[in-house]
Order: sequence, then C-alpha cells, then structure tokens
Amino acid sequence: MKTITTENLAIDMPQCVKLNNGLNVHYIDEGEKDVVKLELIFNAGRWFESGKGVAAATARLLQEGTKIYPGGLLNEAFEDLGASLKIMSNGDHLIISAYANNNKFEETLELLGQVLEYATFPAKELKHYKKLLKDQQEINYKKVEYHGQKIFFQNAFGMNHPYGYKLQADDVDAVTRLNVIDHFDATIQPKNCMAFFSGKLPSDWEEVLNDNLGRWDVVDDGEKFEGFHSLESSFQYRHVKLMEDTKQSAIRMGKPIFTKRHGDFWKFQVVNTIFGGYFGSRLMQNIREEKGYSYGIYSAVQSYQNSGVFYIATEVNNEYANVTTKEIYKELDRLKSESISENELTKVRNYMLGNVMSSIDGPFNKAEALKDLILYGLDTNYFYEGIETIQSITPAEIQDIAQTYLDQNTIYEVIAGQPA
Amino acid sequence: MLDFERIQLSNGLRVILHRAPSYQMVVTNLFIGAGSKHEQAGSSGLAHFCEHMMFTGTKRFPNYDEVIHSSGGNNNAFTTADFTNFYHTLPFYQIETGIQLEADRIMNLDFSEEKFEIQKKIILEEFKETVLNVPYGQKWHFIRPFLYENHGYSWPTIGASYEEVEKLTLEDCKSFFQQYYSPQNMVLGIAGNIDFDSTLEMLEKSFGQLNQRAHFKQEEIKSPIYSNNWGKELIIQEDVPLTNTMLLFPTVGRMEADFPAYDVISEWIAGRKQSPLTQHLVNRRELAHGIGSYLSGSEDPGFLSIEMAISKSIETSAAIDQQERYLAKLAKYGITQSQLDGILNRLDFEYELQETSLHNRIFSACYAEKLNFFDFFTQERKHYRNLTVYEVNACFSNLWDPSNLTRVTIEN
Repeated sequence: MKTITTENLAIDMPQCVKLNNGLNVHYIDEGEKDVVKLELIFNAGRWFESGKGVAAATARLLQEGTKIYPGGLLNEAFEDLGASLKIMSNGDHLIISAYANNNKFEETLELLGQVLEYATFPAKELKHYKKLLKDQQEINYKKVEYHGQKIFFQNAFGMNHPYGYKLQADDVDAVTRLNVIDHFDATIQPKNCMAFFSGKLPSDWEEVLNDNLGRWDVVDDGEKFEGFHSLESSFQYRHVKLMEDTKQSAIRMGKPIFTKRHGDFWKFQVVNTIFGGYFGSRLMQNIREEKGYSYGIYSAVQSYQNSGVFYIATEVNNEYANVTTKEIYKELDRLKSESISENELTKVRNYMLGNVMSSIDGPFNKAEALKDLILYGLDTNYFYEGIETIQSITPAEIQDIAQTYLDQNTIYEVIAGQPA
Repeated sequence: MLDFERIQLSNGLRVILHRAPSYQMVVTNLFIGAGSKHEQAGSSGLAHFCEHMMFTGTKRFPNYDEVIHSSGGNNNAFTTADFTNFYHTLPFYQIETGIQLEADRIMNLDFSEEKFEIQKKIILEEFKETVLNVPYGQKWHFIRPFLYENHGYSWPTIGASYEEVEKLTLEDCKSFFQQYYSPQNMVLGIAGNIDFDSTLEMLEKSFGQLNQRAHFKQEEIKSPIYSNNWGKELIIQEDVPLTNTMLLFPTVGRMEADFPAYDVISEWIAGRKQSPLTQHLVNRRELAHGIGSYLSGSEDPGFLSIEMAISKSIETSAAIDQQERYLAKLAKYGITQSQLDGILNRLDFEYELQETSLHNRIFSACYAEKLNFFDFFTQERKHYRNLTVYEVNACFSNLWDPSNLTRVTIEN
C-alpha cells in the first residue's frame, strides 16, 4: 500500500475587503451554480453571555422579526427570494448564515441589513421560545443519548461553564427581553464580527455589501464580558444515570483537552482517527464489526476558542454496556502500549489525507476550511503542517501522545440507561 | 449545459459519466432497483440487509471500507422503499481502484455465515436505536400496514418487526441479492475530474464482466395498493410525553404529472415556520408545539402527512378540531399567486443548493436514468414553474375529502 500523493493539496488564504464600517469580509469567488453563502460570525456565544441561555435566546429572537417584517414574515421574505436565513449560537459565537440566489443578491442583503439594524426582539416570541423548550425537553428526557451527553459535558467542563452546560428550560425561563437586548448591544457590532462570503459572487457584490451592511454600526455600546471562564470539572469521573424502560444505554467518555492552536493538536487528530475516527478504527472494528454490540461507535476531537474536547460516544444494548466500557479502556491501553503497524498507519494516513482533500473540494467546502483557520487566528501554514504531520508521524509519537493525554484516571465516563 | 455522457454496457448496465474538472474527489454512485417494496410479506428487511452485506467483503477485497479509506476516500449507503443506493468518494487518481472494488462486490460477495450473523446483530441494534428506543419511533410500524395492503409499502424498510428481522437467514439474503442485484436493474454514475474514454475502458474491464442474473425479474406492482382504512382512524398507544396527531392523505407517485402540485401543497400549508397552519395553531392559538408536513415522494402512490405535536394540557380533540376547521378554510380560499411564487422560488433555491454537491448531482442523474427518464429532474423544474394557482387549488380540493382523510393519534 502506498501513501497517496498530495501535490494537488494547495490552498490560498481568501482575499479580504474592509467595508466602510470596518467589517472584514473574507471572500472566495468560485462555483458553477447561482448560489452564494454569506456568514457573519460574532464573538457573541455563551462565553460572552450574562447568564445561561442569553446567547441562545438572542439568536432565536434575532430571527423572529424586524419592524417591517414582524414574526414569521421575515423568514418568509427570505424564502420568497429563494434565499435562507439561519441564526444560531454555540459556546463561542453567534452565527448568522444566509444563502442567496446571486440574481436576487441585492434584495436579500436589504433584508439582512434590516435584521441587524431593525430587529425588534418581540416579547411574545421569547415567551413562545420558552414554552417550546419545555415541550422539547419532555421528549429529550426520554433519550439515553441526551442524558449521556448532558452529564458528560457537565462533569468534564462544569455545570456552569459555557462549554459545559446543556441548556435547560428552567435556565431560559430566567432570561428577560432586556438581557437579550443588552447582549445584542454589547456583541452584535461590526468590530466584533468576521464575515465569510463564497460561491459564484455577483459582479456588484462589494457595492451591495457596503450599501446594506457597510453603514450598520453600534448604537448603544453595551458592556461586553471580557473575562475568562475557568474549567470547573467535576471530581466524579464515573457516573451512572439509571433510566427506566430503555433498551439501550448511552456511553460517553472523554475529557477536556487543548485548542487547535496547540502544538500537539494535529498529532492528537491522528491518534483520534486511529482510535475511533473512521469506520476502520479500533473502536468500530472491535465493538461493531467484531462483536456487534452497537450500530455505531466513534471518537471525536473538537476545538473551541478556549478549550477543546475529546470524547467517545456510542449507544449499546443494555446487557453489553459494562463490557463495552471495558473494551474501550482496553483499546485505549493498546494505543499506549502497542506500536501501530505500518500497514494500519498507512491506511490512516491515506484516509486523513483524502479527508483533507475532500474538505477543500468545491467553493463552499473551501470557504468552510479557511473560515476555520481564520477564526482561530491561523493561516494556511497550519493546513500544510497538518499534511506534514499526517504524512510523517511515527508509531512512537502516536504512543507518546496517547500516554501523555489519555491517562485512564483523567477520563470522564458516563453511562445512561440500564447498564448490565 | 453540464457535461454528461450516458452509455449502456452489453449486459444492460447503464452508466452515466459526468465531467466536473474543478473537483479533486471523484464520486461513484451505484443505484440498485431493490427496495423494501420488492420484499415478500413475512421476510421483510431483506433489501436493507443486503445493503449491509455489500460491506462484508469478497475474496479479493475482504474489507471494502479498508480499501476506500486507505485510498483516501469515504463511502456510505442507504435503502428506501423503492431502491438501494451506494456511493463512495476517492481522489481522482484512485478511480480505477474504486471501480474494481464496486464491480467485485457486486459479482463476488462472500456471503459468509459469520459475517451475516454479525450484521444481523448490528441491524437489530439499529432497530433498537432508531425504532424501539426512540419516542414515536414505532409509529410507521403501525401506520404503514394501516394504509397499504398487497404491497411492500406496508412495512418500514428496516423490517416489519424485530422478530421478523431476527428470523432472516443467509439463504433469504442470497436469494434476494441474486434476484435484484442484476446489471439491468442498476445504474452506475461517476462524477468528477474524469476522462470519458479511459473511464469507459476501466468499466468494460470490470463491470463489463458482470452477467445478468438468471433469477432476475422485475415484479409487477399489483394494484390496488391502498387498504380500505383510508378515511378511518388509528390510535397508537405508546409511552410518549406529548400526544402527536397525523392527518394523512393519499397522493400520486413521484413521476406523475400531479406530483408537483402535492409538493407545493405540502410546503404551503405546513411546510414552513410561517405556513398558515403553523401560524394559526402554534403561534396564535398555542394549541400545538410544532406542526410539520411530510410528503413520501415514493415511486408508487404515496401519502402526504400533516403532523402536529399537541401542547401539554391541551385537549387533543380541541386541537384536531381547530386544525381541520382551518384546513377547510384553506381549501375554500386556496393559495394566492404571491404565495405560489414564493414557494416556487424556495423550491428552486433548494434544488440549486443541492446541485452544488457533486454527489447529489450524480445521484439524481442515476435516479432519473433508472426511471427511464434522464431529463426527469430538469423537466420537473419546468413543471413546477408552470404550475398555476388553479391547478394547485383543484388538487387540494380533491385531497380534502372525508373518504381520503385518515387520522392517526399517538398518545399515552
């Protein structure tokens, strides 16, 4: 088996234009179809909120109407133009994502400009949102994977940590309209935003962006949270949540790790892939293909702005839950104690290089990959370092990474269901 | 416009090649005319099982996934009531490996008893994870047999029951495979940075060797396929936190001229956040916590379903009553031109967005080719664009008939 070639893996940083109000727009002009994507990313996620649920409520209400298009009419206006608008929030960011037909780009941007300048944050919608969450929660509470996930993140990061809490209906109940408006004022500003624009761009795009997004600026300079949330990881490394009437148990194991800026991040990605990052991984082969305990098991690494997480996830037959956990620890041990074969390592190298190739195939994928660099203050060197690591990491380095970061005593384990 | 070439090999296999030189990854898509509707009552779940078996290896390639991954690619598959679809992606210079791999597993699948047993375990876990262990997860297992008879649409693709899937044998799998995985029942599509001539050569060397299966025969769909239960009521008792209701209407198959009208109706009444039913029942009256519509889109006659999750402490009958009264109103006043224009713009946009993915493009091409109508999707776009308010309203009036309207309630 030979390692695949990487001459075709080249990528350039996108070009950037600064609008009149200082908003930086990184753009990629490529594509065959008349669709463009514009994303506005704000440092306005949970990390910056004044209380649990404020960022999520802000994202929700921003989409629920402007002065001219109250309530659902805003979405309808977007969709009638053959466009779409989605606003969501996560641990770090609030993200406004719009797809547009490049023939109706100007009309679509007019609407988007309104969202930023004329959002009304209707009280009725906030009330409705709270009710929706309550109803949804009743359904979620029956799911083993919901509880597994929730308890894992709580224990690993802390119940009140922006990366650790699972939003509960009660949390959102305490959010007021004023909280939302304050959050908006403090964080939804051009200087707190990065824009990413990709697809077959219309010829007058820069003018249209300046007209509709380039005059928007902060109205009331709210107080932005500038602090740091330390991890408040639990000391309880093992947790079992018994749930009645379940046929499967959810297993979640893992721990907080570093961000993608860390020197070992790429090596850790390789280790993760070997362990549980693809269909041929140690976990999949053992738990699914050899033993048939589960329909799917995987491990993943994710980076946030201020931390990262490594976790293992699966749902298994109740009677195999404890046995599966034992097997997972066995596989972790193997990573540390056994030197990986050249054959297996080549397989993983090729898989990962193919993945890298895939991740920049096509204008929207490319934009996504580059956005991921820029958001972390990285550039294409990071990308090439990654390729270099994948191609040259040694079995000894793999063992070393596993031994350094995957000490069994630092791993959180949660089982939700009726493990036997 | 887009660079496509269509060929048929001597064994009946239809091939579609799509050149897209700006992409580094090549997508290979294999579309098989074998879905759960081709199964026999009593041995359901075979089409899905065969999909799993396709990953269990041949003598030459004992581990399909390993070859794809070690060549830098990815793969997946899915089964529906009408067909099974496999696809993989590989860097463009690995295309020959991919072609050999696919041809080999069609021709030389091992069908080992050991692998079969493991796959069965995995499928049974899938059954638990997606049906038994999920709130409302079992509803289709009640609804499908209620709506259909004499037809494979009477059971969900995963299988009519856990027990039935558990009883399937390796022989069952083999016969189904022998019957349906025959070249004249497949379409192979390849898209990416490819050269037509050399790709064809590779295909002749591998897929060209595939013989037609002796047992292949395209089953005639017997009609009627609907049961006598349309217009009646079904109550499903399950341990659920909120009562859900469904209103079901019969619709035409995917390829019929009227299908676009049903799609527009589905989008219009309950397909969006700002659809009239949603506005009325969720936002204004707060009777429901969510409303959605679902159009089955199957090749044979299907259904349109309007689903409602009733809010806590609301009387089910009160919510249903409001829903039906409002639907009657919609049927009376109909859709307006501007509403229709908006929906058509929306559907166009979604189609365009989908087509930016090379995989979606080649999958659609395979699907259309299998339906013996390669230009199906482009023609269909025109069809949608030419829809009039009159046609949509006439369709809705026909639909809104007590003999059609089937009510399902899922409650504690």
